[in-house]
Amino acid sequence: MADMENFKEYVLRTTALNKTYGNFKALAGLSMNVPKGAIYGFVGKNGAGKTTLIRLICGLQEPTSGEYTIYGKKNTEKDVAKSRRRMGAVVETPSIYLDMTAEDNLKQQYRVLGLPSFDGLHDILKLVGLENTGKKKVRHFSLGMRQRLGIAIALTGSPDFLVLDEPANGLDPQGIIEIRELILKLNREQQITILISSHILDELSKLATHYGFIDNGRLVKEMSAKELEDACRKCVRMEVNDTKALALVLDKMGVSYKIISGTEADVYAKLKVSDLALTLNKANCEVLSMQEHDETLESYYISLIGGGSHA
Amino acid sequence: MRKLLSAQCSRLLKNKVFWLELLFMFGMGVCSALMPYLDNVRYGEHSRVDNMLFNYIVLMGLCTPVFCSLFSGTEYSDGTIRNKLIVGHTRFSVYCSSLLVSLSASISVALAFVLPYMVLGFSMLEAPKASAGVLFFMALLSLFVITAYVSIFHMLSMLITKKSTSAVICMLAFIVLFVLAIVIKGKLDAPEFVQNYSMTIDGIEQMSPEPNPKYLLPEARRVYQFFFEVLPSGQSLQIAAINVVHPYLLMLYSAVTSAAITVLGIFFFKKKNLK
Repeated sequence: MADMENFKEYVLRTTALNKTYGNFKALAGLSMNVPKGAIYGFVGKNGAGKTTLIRLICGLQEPTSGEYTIYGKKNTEKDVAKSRRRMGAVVETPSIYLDMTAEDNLKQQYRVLGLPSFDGLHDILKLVGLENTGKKKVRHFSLGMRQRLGIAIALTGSPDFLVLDEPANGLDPQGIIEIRELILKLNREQQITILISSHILDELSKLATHYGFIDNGRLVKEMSAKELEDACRKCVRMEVNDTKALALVLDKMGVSYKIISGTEADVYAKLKVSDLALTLNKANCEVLSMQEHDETLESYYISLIGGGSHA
Repeated sequence: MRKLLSAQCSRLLKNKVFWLELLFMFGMGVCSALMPYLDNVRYGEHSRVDNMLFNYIVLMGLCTPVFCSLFSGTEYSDGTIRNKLIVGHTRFSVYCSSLLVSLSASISVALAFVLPYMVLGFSMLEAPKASAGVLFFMALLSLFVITAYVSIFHMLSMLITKKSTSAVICMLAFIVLFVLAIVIKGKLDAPEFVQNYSMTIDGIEQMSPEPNPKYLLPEARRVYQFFFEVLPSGQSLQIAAINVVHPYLLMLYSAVTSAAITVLGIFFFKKKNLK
């Protein structure tokens, strides 16, 4: 959490946010902080409350209790509309008129925002790779093109904060790569803060600078990518006949480790296998197997949430 | 609100349903003038301009639910209503801008009937029986009725998120309103006496007037008359026939209906959980 605290400015903060639909509690006191300039990966299984939170912060629904601030403005203040003006979002599916062209869709959003001219429209289309779609109606676009157009609309008016709900859903591998590159480009070149929810943890791990893990409407853990990296150190899982002897040898070598059981231990260092085997042999410790073990975001998530049916 | 109006107006101009309705009403306007003219020529009839001038108000009962449900429904089916809310527009502005554009579209559709009808009618049919003042007042009344229709169907379209469901419900609402108006009109038009035929043993037919059991008693008549004047469909039938008993009351009923429905619509739209 130390890294999180270093960020003085937060784009979005939620405090004890609750949302209930009848008897179903979609959000149960969710508190989260999205630092300025971050790509905040929002991770949770189906029904955990990711989309509900996004709907709330986008003003599509009202929280049952609790509050949130966008650029320091509370959701109950009138001025929150001004903060929303700095936001763009793609919630679930892209919000686009199917019977219009990509250009007409963007023009519509320019009008909604009250922009005086269509300056920059072609730059946005170029940025998302839709500059050559001409008079083709959105109805005939591929899923990836629609997703990119949705992002283009969210980018109209140069927002500082972009909210993307499952942007890679249903995309082919090429589409996923394109969206990833676009998100990184927006964050690096235009310093746009991005909140992104995704099921594809491997993909998210290539983007996110911060993570929030949600389960049953609660934020279970919030951490920076650096903190996650530390928690997911590469290690070698060793199986020996005597972990006490192994511990003595590793202590002498000044290597950090973790004893798993009487015969298993994780060693957090790059080892010269032959040297270690010889040393252990001298200490009457026999090496039965060695396996490089790389803890990923996925395994971290599983260990944190408890391995539900879906990631 | 100004920004939303500009966006909605530009969308309206690209809307196929709007152009199809304009074309349909234009065609109806032309036909409504040509057909009585042909009858005048062929059979020596004396059709007047005002006979069919306000027929458009009955057709508007059909056009408004189709337009409102498809125009506003697209905002839900394509999800574009979210683009407005996410960037900070209030639900009040979203609702009202959409209502105003729907109203403008409906008035334009009505004019698409009136203008060709008047141009052709005044040059080919006989002069109107009603005075210019009456015709102007009927036109004003029809504006109020269109507003009431739009308020009702727009509210339904904004509260029902599924476009197809909203289209079906709007059409059903129109049918219910129209059938109700026709049934009420039938009751009100029932004659006080009916002719009773009887035959004597000599085979002589006799005709004597007898009280009509279906004739409404004064109290029931007042209730039926009230609903006939409150319902926009009832008002439409009266305006189309240029036979309005309480013109100012009709105007008041339409205004109250429009205002109440809009307030109710905004109230529920503000509370609505959007996806």
